[in-house]
Amino acid sequence: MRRLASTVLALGLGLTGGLTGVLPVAWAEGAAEPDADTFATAHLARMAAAVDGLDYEGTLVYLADNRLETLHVVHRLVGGRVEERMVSLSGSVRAVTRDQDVVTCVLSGDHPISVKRKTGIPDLLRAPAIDPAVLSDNYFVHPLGATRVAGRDTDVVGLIPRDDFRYGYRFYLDRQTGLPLKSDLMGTDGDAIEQIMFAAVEVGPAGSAQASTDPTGMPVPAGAGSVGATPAGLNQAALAPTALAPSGPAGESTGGDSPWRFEDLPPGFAVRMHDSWPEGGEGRVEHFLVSDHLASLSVFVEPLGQGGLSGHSRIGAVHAVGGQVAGHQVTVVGQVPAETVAAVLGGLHHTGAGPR
Amino acid sequence: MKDHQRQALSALVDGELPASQAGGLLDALGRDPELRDQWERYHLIGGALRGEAASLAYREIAERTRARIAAEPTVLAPAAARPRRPSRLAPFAGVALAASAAFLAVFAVPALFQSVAHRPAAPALAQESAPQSVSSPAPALASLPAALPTSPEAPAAQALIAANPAPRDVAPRRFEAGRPSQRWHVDQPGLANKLDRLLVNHQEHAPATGINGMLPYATLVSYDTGR
Repeated sequence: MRRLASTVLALGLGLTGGLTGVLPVAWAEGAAEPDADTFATAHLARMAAAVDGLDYEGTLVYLADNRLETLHVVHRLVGGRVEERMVSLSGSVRAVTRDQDVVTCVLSGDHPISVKRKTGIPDLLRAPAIDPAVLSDNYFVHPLGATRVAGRDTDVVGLIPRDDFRYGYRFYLDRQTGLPLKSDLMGTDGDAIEQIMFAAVEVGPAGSAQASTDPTGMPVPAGAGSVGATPAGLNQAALAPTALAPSGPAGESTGGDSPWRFEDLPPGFAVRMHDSWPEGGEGRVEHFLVSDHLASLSVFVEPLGQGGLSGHSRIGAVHAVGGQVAGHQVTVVGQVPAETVAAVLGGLHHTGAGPR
Repeated sequence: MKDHQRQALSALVDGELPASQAGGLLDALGRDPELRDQWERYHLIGGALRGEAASLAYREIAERTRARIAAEPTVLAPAAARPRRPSRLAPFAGVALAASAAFLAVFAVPALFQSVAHRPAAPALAQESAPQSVSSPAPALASLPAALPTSPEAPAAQALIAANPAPRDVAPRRFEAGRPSQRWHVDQPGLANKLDRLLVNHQEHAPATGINGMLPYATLVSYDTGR
């Protein structure tokens, strides 16, 4: 059920042959251009290119759950390879580093997490991820005015969900470079539930930044040292996918050869990818990516005995739900509302064929 | 402070003072701060001889307790009962009491319930504020032992008490600076780490990751373990 602001504004959107929808006023400040969709779409395509193709470094502020955190982020291309690092500046040191091959998370009090990045990921999953023709069934793409962020002029573009099964997005894009200087995750009631913003940022063309051993100036814990390194003791093998095995056509709510089937997925969501890897000897973990091309969640099916979530949990706007289905531990996690992960878990069942 | 008082005090500390003398000495203790200091020193010496750990936090505890009590709001308690002569009417008192109770049950109690149901706003405020002045000393006194060791400055304590009849010298946990926000809110030690791994794995395949770079990881990095 869509919950709207007290006043609504009807806007004609011409994404695919002219769509008409209802937009909360809170989202639509300074909006309503005649070719708004083209404008917004061009900005989003530019954003995707800027995020990958520029060197930038700055201080981020993160606001969620009435908490404010500061982060330092570095993104640079060195020899054609992307190196990224995000380090918390508040509280204990927590860090994420990412390069072409591996993403490593060092979080306080836990073992470092390292996940190998896939190569050859289909275009469906990689930039340009914003395809208005594909998204229009589930989102409005619309310009929402202009403002200043981190001392720079930005154009604001909104991705407004058509129902409550997905969050909305509001991107404040640097007018000069297209980089998102502020990102708001919009809840189903139209309020920002998570905001991240550059307080200060330096942007340059790719390769302009000089690589340094410690760009943040912060003590980086063991395991998150040099970008791309594979620290010892990482829990890497457990989650290293063996092969990418996309399922059938997008929208098909099955897991391909898998005995697992998804029924009654939320509107617009479908299984976009299926993967599996060995876990704990004879067992295997099956991973299904369910997405509406923008919002997404993952379904992990594991043998029992590995421990796992029972019930609902969340971190920020990321919701997770877990339980046992047909003698397996199933965990559904993604940056979607709690109702969405619950609906996906509720629709999962085992056909009886294949390994149980 | 006289010598005989000092000797009596020493005997009192050792539990050797005759009960007949104890009352007078305790009255003197209440009046004479020097005598109270001596009382404290005797206890410190006795504790040191017995090898007990001496806590400076308990220094001048009597003075600080006195200051606290003096600063408390007036206690609206009934006056102490005075001994009365037995009355000739005492045998009839029970009968009168029973009659009064019957009268209240028949006439007054229904009216009381009615007045509660239709209680106007102003009397409600009066009724709600009145119990505070009566009951506030109790929690204040109850918190005294925990409060005193951390606030040796009596004037500051008095000011605090004057401003707040129920002082809380220990900061509530929710006020603690740098208190981490727990990820996932799960009790099992390894479960949060497992959910982190699943989230990272998901994040690497999520389409949204492609359009806003590392920003999805801000959630993961911004939350501490809280464990």
